[in-house]
Amino acid sequence: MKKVGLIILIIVAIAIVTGLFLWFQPTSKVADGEADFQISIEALVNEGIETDDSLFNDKYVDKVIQFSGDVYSLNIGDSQSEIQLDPNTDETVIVRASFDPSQNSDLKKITEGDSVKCQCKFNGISIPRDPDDLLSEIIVTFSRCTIKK
Amino acid sequence: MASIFFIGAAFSQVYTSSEGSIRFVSKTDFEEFEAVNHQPSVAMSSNGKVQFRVPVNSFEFEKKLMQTHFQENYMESSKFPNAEFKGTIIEPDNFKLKDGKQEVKVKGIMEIHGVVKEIEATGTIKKTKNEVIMFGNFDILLSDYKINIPKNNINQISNTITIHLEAKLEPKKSKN
Repeated sequence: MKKVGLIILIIVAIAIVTGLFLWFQPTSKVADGEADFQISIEALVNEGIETDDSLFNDKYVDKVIQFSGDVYSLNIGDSQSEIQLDPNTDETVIVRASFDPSQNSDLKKITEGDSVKCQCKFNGISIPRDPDDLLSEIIVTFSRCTIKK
Repeated sequence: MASIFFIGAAFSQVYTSSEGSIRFVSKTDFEEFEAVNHQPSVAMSSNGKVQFRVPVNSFEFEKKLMQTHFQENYMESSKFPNAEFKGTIIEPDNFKLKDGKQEVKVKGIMEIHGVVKEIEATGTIKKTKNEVIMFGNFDILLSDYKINIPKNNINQISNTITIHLEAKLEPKKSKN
């Protein structure tokens, strides 16, 4: 009886510790590990335009994607940094890749016009719906990015 | 002469964001938390149109479990990856962007979680030579956007969420 009580106590303790670990586990700041997709921005945007929204979002949103582009602008900050990339597509597309400040040392080696490869979490595409939208470009957003060498 | 007047009246400069953030705060008697999004796309025109679009998955929480619940259970971000506002400055009347600081009220359509609703927000707009700094605040009710808080989370998550927007905008450039 005592042994059974001890085993139950150990199981409950493990469950509590696991629960606390999961509850307090911080959000990852970087999309590291293996990429789910390696795809050009042009292909991603074309698929976003041509495919049903739900299917496209289920496939790509929140996944880790590796892609390349030329640096259009670079903004290095203390709380967040961002690169805007020119994906060299026919459409007017803005690619926004945000980086945690832990990546600033890599970002400081980059200048506008450089060609870079990034690995990021994909947050989605916004495609303008009305001709009078002030935000008239297709905007592709990524976060938790790293520069891949 | 009349045609030049009409062309002048129709032209308005568009400003788009170079930096910005949207922060939302939930406060109950038991818990307070917030999340920040550094990727809103914000635009305004010199005659008072305002628009912003926010990728929902760019909201960052301290705790991973909260982030997962927010994206998957509450916002269903794979179905509705963006939230968007489109409106016009209603106060002051006949708004025109000018150097200095202006207190404004904006009215427009907010779309969150696939639901659209008319809202009003207050804010300030400060213009210097080539830059516009925008601050805005407003409250939303999650229930208005069919975002349901489970009964066992009612003490932790408020139905009223306060949203703070700040953005730095510059004249819109065309890509070469």
